[in-house]
Amino acid sequence: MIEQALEIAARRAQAAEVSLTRSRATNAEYQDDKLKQVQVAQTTHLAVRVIVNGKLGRAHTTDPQQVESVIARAIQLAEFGSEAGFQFPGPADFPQVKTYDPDVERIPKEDLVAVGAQMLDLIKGYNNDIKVFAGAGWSAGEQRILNSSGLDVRHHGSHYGIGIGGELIRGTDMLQVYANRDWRMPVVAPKDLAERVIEQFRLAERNVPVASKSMPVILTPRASFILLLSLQMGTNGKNVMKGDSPLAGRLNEKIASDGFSFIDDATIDYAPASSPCDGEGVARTRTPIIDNGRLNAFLYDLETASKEGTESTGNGPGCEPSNLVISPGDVSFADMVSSTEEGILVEHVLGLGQSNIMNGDFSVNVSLGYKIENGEIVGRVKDAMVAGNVYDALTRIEAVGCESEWTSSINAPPIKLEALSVVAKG
Amino acid sequence: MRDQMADALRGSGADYAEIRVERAEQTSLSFRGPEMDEISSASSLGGVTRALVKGGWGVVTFNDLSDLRASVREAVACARLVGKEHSHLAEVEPTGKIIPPPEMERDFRGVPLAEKQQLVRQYNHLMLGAHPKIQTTSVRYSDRYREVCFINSDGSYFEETRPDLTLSLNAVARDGNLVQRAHEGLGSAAGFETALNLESKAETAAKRAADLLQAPPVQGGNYTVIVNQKLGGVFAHEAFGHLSEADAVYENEKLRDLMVLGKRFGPDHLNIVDDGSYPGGRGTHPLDDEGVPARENHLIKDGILVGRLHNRETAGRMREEATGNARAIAWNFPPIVRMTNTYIGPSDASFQDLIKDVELGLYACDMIGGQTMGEMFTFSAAHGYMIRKGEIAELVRDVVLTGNVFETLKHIDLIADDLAWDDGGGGCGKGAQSPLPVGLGSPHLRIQGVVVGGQQ
Repeated sequence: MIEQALEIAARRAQAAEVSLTRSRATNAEYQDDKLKQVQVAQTTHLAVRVIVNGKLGRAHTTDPQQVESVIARAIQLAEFGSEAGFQFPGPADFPQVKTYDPDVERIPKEDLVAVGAQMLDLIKGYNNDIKVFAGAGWSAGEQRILNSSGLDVRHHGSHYGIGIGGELIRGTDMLQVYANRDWRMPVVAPKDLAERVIEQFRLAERNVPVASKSMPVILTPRASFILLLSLQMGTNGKNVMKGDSPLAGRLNEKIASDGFSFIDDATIDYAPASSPCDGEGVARTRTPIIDNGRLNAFLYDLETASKEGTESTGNGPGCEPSNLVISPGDVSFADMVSSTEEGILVEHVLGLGQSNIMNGDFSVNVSLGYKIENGEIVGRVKDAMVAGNVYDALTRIEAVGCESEWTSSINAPPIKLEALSVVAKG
Repeated sequence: MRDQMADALRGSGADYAEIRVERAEQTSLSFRGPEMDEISSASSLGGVTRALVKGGWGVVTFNDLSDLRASVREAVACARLVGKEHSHLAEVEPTGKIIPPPEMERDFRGVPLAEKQQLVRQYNHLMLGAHPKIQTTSVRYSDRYREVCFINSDGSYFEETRPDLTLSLNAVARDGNLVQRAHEGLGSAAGFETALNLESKAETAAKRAADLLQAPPVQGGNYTVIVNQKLGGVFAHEAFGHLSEADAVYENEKLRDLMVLGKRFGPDHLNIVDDGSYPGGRGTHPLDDEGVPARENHLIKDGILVGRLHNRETAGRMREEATGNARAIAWNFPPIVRMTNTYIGPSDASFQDLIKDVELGLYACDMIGGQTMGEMFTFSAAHGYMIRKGEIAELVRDVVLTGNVFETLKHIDLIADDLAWDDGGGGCGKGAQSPLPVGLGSPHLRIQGVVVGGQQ
């Protein structure tokens, strides 16, 4: 079907690309201590891009009967499309990266149910008052991309993911803790994940007051997303080209403290966003974005790269990141905490993305975080906000931790910032 | 299709089963800066089958409609793994409605692409030229026509059409390294006519982005805050609305105790309503995705908690009536408990009454977004003004409010008489389902002692 689609499209357009994605998924979901639902999903997705008179048209469908009308619509839309300025890539050497484990889609539903139950029991064993939510699931599929430049690439992918969390209500005080992991092999350990959640519940057993003032803040690997959200927008080649990014025109400048390195890397075996090629059939790469504090590169897709006179970094379409890795430093988490006289340890935040994130501004509620006093974690901080600017914070990194962890497609160590503004209730 | 769907459900062996099939067509186009950015067309066809066995759900989603019976078999097999108790679904009158599409003066499906592009180009051009500090823009138009066909084993069948049109106008102003943005938008369940004549929105967005370059960030601290109608609507939805969704409380005893009907939640003049039958609302639909008629549901009446939002299961388990709040965003999702059009009812104060005796406060306007976790909420105003000695003073930026919903509702000390609905085109997210079209409304509110994030 897909070869035929390309043939039809290529006959009517100057250039054409067709991609077909098929996927299957199964997951089991627990809510309020109970198994609630088992879900099975099947998806087929056909996308067509054409270049007609130098302009780009796109259309896609989930309806396999609609192949011809999807091509017709892509061609019709191209009349109004943006200037393409690029050509679809021909065959290339793709990186050897492992993205598929056949064992994943052999996992029976019963096993997913059992994994959820195992995590649930561990949490209930710690504190029976906690209302537990949990999930376990897998997905698997293949994508094939064909274009009129002779490319025909197919790759398989699999994901195995588990999540566990709980809610503890004491009076009108609610505490939610959660953790999840996603990997392309079924190696994620449910026990470790549940134990992390229990550890967080332990640390949050009592609430402690915090003063409104500026103080050091340690971001756990999960909270590093505060920094990464603005950074990934700021280093998106399209945002740079449009002048939206405050990093536009600043390549090779020092924008972060020494010791801070940040890499887009789609070539890590079995990492969630790894693949041999991007959605445009361009070979994936490893792109150091910030190298020891110096801004080294932006991410590009075909269209943006052609307009900026550079090469695609294999982040198309949309100049979106794959796996984002913050390189580990040399300070242990324990030392970070013990060297803090008064500060906050942030695990989860609420409201990220609601500020002027392109500018780097953030102002977030610490939904799960802890007070550090005299080098020790003393209890949970509530009704407090931390605020600052990512680009300012990057130049004031006090320490980068040596213990990195994966959270979905982000790999990060704990990071200690010299100071952020904390505003507390009262 | 109806016969195939009915056939597939026959003899399923489940306590309850349903099939929903949807076909949708969407056209989107956008400008970024002076250039056309993207134009695309999407069509989808797919379905979701749910089965309930002994209180457990099995769900199957699929594009391949050739074997509906297999989807039912698979859903029942999934449900059997889950169910260990009894199935409870609130009784509802089976429906047999073929609902005519909402009226569109100009059906957007018939509007030539050239005309859509010209309209977007014109708004974009207006914003780019509105102020010398405007660095760039992004304007996105999207229309979607969604046809839903539903059948269940209780004898309900309905067909419903849901048009949705959104226009998003974003201006970016830059001064050196300082970048400020402003957004105006439109969301509507009507035809192409609603996208016309929005020049003033485009100008407002551009002017505000430029003005925000001059505005200082708000100083963090505790303030008396007056929220405008758009922000009041987000507050009602985010801070309170999500807690009134019964799927959060029906099997959570402690939360149920917190949300017990009859309990005082706020002052006498506080009323919060969710109404999926509100004419012309963005979250309005005659029937929800379980075939239950939408209706007006009072959540807080005269300060007292009086109701909550249900699907058939939560209503059945809590022995309350189904409220018509089971909604799904698209073919590949089962329905879950969602809000429709949520608003805070007007009281009798004037805006002047709210502001006149505020010595130092904040007037927080419009929204970028909002999020909740349990009783905690944060919501971000698009911009704000300081209030000094009872008067609106300087424009400030980066206004993010946070708090505890139970305390904050009690601290609403004045409610104005100027209820307004937001037509800004935002959507609600819950679980993996986002964005769902919802309506938001509120009058101006005055809230005491709100935590505002920021530098000090």
